[in-house]
Amino acid sequence: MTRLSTAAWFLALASAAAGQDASERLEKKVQEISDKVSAAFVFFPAGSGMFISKDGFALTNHHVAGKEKNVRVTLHDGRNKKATSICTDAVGDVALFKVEDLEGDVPYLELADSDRLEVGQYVLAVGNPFGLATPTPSKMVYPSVSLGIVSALHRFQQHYSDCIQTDAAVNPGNSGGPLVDLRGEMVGINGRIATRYLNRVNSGVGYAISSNQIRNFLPTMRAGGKEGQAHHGKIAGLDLSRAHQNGRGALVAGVRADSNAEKIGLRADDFIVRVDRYSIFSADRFHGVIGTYPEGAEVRLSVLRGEREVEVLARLDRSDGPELFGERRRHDHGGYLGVLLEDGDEGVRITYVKPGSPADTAGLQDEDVIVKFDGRTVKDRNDVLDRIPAHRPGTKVQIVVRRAGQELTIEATLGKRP
Amino acid sequence: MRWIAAWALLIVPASAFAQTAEEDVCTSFESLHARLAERVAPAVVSVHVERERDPSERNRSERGGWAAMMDGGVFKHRPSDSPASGFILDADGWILTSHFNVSGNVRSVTVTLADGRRLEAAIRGSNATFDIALLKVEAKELPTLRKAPLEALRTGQFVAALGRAPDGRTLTLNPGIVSAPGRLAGRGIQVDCRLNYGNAGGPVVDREGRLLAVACKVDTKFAGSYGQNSGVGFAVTWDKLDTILPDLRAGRSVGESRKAFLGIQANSESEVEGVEIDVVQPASAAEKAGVKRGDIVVEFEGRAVRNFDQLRAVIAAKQPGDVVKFKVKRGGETLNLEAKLGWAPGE
Repeated sequence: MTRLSTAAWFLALASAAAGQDASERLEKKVQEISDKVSAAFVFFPAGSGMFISKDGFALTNHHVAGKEKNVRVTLHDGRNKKATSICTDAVGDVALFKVEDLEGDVPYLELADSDRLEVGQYVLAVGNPFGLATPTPSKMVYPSVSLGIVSALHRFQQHYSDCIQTDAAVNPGNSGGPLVDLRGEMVGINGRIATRYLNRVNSGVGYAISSNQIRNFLPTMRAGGKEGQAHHGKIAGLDLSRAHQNGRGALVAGVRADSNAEKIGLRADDFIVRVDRYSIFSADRFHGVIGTYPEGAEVRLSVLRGEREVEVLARLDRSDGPELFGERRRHDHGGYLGVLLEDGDEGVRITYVKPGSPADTAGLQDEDVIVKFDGRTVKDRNDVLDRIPAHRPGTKVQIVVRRAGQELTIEATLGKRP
Repeated sequence: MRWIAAWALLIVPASAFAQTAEEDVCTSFESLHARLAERVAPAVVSVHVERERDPSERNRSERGGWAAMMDGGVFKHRPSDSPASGFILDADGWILTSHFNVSGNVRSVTVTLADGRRLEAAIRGSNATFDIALLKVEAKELPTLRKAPLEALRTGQFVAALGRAPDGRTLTLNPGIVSAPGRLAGRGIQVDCRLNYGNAGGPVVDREGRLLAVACKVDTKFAGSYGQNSGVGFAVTWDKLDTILPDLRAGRSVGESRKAFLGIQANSESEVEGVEIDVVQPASAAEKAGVKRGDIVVEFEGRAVRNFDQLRAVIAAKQPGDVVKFKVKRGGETLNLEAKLGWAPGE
């Protein structure tokens, strides 16, 4: 038995030496890509970013730097530069900056076709978790690289409507950094992690905004959007059924008179089964796919109407993001706050604050946990969503939130639904 | 037995070359891990520590769960009866483990070798900054690890962290990659292996099973209050350990010397009175206290703040764990904040 294992051992060594070992080839690949990505990495204040062009355009998350006009960034070689905001997409959580005063071209990453990803494929997450990267004696600054796989594709996580799930370690500080495939192309931007009990560290479930969504937005964003903002698209006047349809598609519950939905020819009882090349099996998947397009984009819908399949061409209207899956349109004249909420173990967590909304003005933030609304303890997400429109616009409400271990009372003046 | 070996020599090469690419990838990882385990196992030991319970430990275990979390409760030492790892440094019975494993009021240390022998160990020296302790057992001709060359160390290199369960028999192996060189203020590396408490003191090896570094610093700041791994782990490289080994062998110990850290960077272009904050480090004491970018620190521990150098000096005079009170201006408001100071990332 000893001899047998010695023989196998010898062979394993021999094949490794001859370059037969696949793990060794993968290791080399991972090292090469780590070097390539590190060279094109941009350290944003308390976050991560990446050059996507040789003339210095860099991407990060909206929640990292989207609200800033100018930030100081650090490059891999230790140089400190000024970066100016070109455009931000608050709903998609993507911000585009231009790094200034670069002497010559910079290394950058190509955006991959993320539709070619497969579950199980290796990916690298590159970022600056916990702000660990500090200049080394050679002045070089090293981001952190973690290896994992694509755990799931086309995940619908509210405003991360069509995201990639990965088990590569992603932690606070990784936000805005790239998720990269083994071709060394960027397949997404790491932006969120699933956590429990306020334990804000990697759980093996990280979410990245897909590169194809970013590619849909980049032309608009490079042109500066509208006053520095990019907007998502929707089909105005389209009301989808929330009832489960066993995977048949997104069922049209109704179309508003004189709306875009009516003009392009959608009707009640239509099943939307396809948007461009994506098959649609549910209302959430429809919102998920549409969430990857900007305002003004043209999409081709395949619609099942009785026995017939018809094609419908739609130019997307401007979306206000949250209204699709956030606060309910139960009372059209009720108050409006402008948040997306999620039920967590620690309570009702705010996952998105709409810029310029009453929530934003009052100072509510992502990751705040709502404890009380208008003097009463909140039960769950639906409880809060019911209680917001029960007040009239203009009403002042006291909201108690838990933020970083402390309880704060915030007064918000409810607005009108946009 | 001889015949089996001969047949194996004939059959294995043929089948190895006939493998498809896919099979090659799968089996190559399994065989890599198996190979590592086989090579490294003899030198990995289990460390058992008998010690007086720490007051904070009692508090934590009694209150548990949420209450412990709200305390920000952090273990200063490895609690009694919790498993720990170490490895054989040289054949004459010198063993390395984590300072964290054997610090505090220790009654006795027992080391269980891979062959099942259980030996009393003496703590010869320890260094809290490197998170390393040197133990000595009475034994000869123990198996050791070869050292890996460190000049070639690069991000993306495959590594594995090894440990040993308290029974002394079971080896644990957690593969990963080098996430970054040059962490721990230049003393070590960052790895994405799933390092948990039991890994501290165990070896981190390369694909050939050679020693690269020693796993350490399962830092509760990163790992969260439950000590769950975050995919961000640290290990001190052997070349840096070599610089302190003579001290440890001579019985010299170095205690805790971390500097207090709030986790802010000032805006150097700001012209306002006080310190305008440009960056709040993620997961830092400042972030936990609710400090935001753009806040202006105007008062710290009852004294007016004029500039960043002055504020830095006040923080430097504090200890990690101290609770400080300060005032910030945000918009038109002045807020009173309180922070429990930590230490710098990777320190």
